[in-house]
Amino acid sequence: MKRREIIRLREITKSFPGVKALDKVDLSVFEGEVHVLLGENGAGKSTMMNIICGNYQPDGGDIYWNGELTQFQTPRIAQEAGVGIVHQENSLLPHLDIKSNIFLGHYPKTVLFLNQRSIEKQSRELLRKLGLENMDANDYVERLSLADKQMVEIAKAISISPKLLLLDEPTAALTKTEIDILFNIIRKLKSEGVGIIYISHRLEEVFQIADRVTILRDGVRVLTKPVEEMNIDSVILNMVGRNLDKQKKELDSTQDQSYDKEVLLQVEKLSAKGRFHDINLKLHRGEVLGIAGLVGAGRSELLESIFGYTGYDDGEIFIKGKKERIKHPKDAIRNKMALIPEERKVKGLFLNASVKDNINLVTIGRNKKRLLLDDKKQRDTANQYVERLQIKTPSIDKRIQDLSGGNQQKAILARWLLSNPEILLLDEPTHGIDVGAKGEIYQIIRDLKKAGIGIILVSSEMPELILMSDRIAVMNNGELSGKLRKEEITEENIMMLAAGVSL
Amino acid sequence: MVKDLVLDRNTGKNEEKKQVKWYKKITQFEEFGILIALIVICAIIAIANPIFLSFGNIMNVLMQISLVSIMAVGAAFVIITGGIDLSVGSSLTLGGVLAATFYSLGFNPWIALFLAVLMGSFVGAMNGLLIVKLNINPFITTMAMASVIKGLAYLITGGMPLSFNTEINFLGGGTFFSIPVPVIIMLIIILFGHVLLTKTIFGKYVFAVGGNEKSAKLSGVDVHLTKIKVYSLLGALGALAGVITACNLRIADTAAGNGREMDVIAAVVIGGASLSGGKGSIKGVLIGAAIMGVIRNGFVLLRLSSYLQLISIGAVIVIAVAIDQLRKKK
Repeated sequence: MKRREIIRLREITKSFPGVKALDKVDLSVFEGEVHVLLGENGAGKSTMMNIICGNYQPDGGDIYWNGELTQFQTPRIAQEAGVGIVHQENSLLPHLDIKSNIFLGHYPKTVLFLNQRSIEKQSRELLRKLGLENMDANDYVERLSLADKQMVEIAKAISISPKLLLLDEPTAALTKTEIDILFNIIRKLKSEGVGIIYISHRLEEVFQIADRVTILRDGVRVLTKPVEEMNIDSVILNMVGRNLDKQKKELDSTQDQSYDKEVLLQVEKLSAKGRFHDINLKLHRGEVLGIAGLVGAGRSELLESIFGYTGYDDGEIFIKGKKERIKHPKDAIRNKMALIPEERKVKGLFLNASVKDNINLVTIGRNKKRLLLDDKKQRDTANQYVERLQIKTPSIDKRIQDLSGGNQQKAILARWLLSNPEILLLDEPTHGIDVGAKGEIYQIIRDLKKAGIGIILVSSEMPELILMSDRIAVMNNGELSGKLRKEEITEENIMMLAAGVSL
Repeated sequence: MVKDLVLDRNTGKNEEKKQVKWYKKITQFEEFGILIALIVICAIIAIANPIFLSFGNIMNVLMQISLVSIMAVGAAFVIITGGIDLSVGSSLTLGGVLAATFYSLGFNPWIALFLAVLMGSFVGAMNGLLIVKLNINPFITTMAMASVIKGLAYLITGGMPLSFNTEINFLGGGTFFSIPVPVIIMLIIILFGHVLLTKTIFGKYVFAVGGNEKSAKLSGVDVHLTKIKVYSLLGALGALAGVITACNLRIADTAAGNGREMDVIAAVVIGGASLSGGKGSIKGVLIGAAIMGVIRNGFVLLRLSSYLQLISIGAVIVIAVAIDQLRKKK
């Protein structure tokens, strides 16, 4: 029996200045089907999503909705037709409560005033349907954890009873249990006949949830196949167009587990009220110190305090054995520290500025020629690092917001490598980045380690931590719950400590 | 192999870039749109009344925009950091009043000028301090500061104009090779502002703070100090404009700066700066001030009602920002 097609996109083409984001891409979704869209960053997945939900208009190609030729000129029109979307980046309004966020844009029509009670009731039902009974519909979104926000985002998308649901990396911020909850929701929606387009970087998920898989590479559709005919290796091969295994083996063979005895950074009894408590850490020359923990365990907060972005209330920081007061990031930079923050767009990038200015900011003082800045020096430096880190951009004058996530991240890395750091703090450096760019960033970390830089790596991806770290410190609820030497590092040990169980 | 691929792609794009370079340079010049607008407006007025293009009239227009331009250079820095300053008109008033007061106390007029500008920068720094240390919204802070400064000026003068008849009056009323001195001061300040904004570390920090405050701080930029500096710069330029006004009128009047802040902000905004920060230029400021000056002058030359002039200036502000938004969408 042939199921009905909800949407069919035919030869969709879309260009941005300097980039062809999509080139004649076909995609279709049947009732009750989960269609997974895969591809490296910059492959065109998000552009595709934005076209389906009416955010972008395609330059060419047709959209058939329920078999009829349609145009989604605005997100509103797409929404009314039955397209629900969960965005990659948080689109919730922090100062409103959960129920208002869910119903924003489609409040039940009333004559004069909103019927708050009915909204609350409907929200609660929706949350129950999602298995989120513990959430209060009157809670303000700003007080929710990243994972809970993501769940509210999903509730919001489902509240319009969509016929087609778009999920753009919904699991990026979720833990294992929450992912299970999400997958149950997806299965339920499937059984109700909802079609789902699902974007993810976590390949193992694909095989748990997909019916069909479409792989994009550089804006072109590489293949569409039922998931039974695929395996992880063939998926990666088609996404990247090269064999990742080889790269991994190369990494393993060059892996140098030893590190110097010299202590670069020592943190003693560091505490900050409400964020973390009594943290003791040592980072050696040429060491990668992993920090594991669940979302909200205080890992990012710790890094930001060490770097002087947010202060600390108690404790001491020693750099190469010398006590230093780090009150502002400029103090940290003076002490040869660098921080690549977690939320690229919020804390790393100057979206409106050029690639050149983004790369040069920290070390701008080096481009001085007498009193004034020398543009040529800035251009030379930027070009040099664009080449060295293989940042894909048509020119260094391009605004950085037009680059893909992986290339933006490499630009931020370039900014900090320029400052010749000895201590590098990495906060989820591969978050939302495709497999290919991930490999490149791992290689850069290896090279830096070999060059004697001490690296603290905060990551939520277990394989990444295990692969990269010489030692791992695990945080739970703002405290250090344990430290693991190389030979003690296993997934089980990390999970136990992260959950607050002592070994 | 992968490396080769990437390199090939890069070089391909570089060649493409070279071919379209001259064309790109013209249309991607940020102020292209408003420059065309300025030229069109000038052309229309010149056709309707050729006197518009006479040397005397051009100097007249430049003279009229000189004070607003001087202040708008400082306001551009403030607006690019994402701030706003409603107290610059009052700074102008205070600058004139202080210079006249110091002069009447027996100071050398040059010293009086210097002290007035210094006080202006101090008042601006106070704005900045309140904004960053107490975390008060700049709109509110500077609105309150405007009231305080104006009150101070009234306290000093008792509401009466102070005479300012000195050997530095040429700064407001003199000419140099038949170019009015205020116009020359304006050109110097614009050049100074342009270099400061585009060719110094401070300028890069100003853009960084307005572009993304969190990223700027994490990149080691002293966000607080940068903000204090921009408000201080604007305060100083406001006071300088005040002294030039007093030099020109030979009196320091407590009403001299009334409402001038709106012209200043309008010039910056027409010039392409974004009130949300991170974007703007001194070239744009000059063009923005010139558009307003030319329209005012045109209405006089064409003997149109001055009420119509107010309406059209408002329309220009909206059109300039709208065009900018449309360009962004493309």
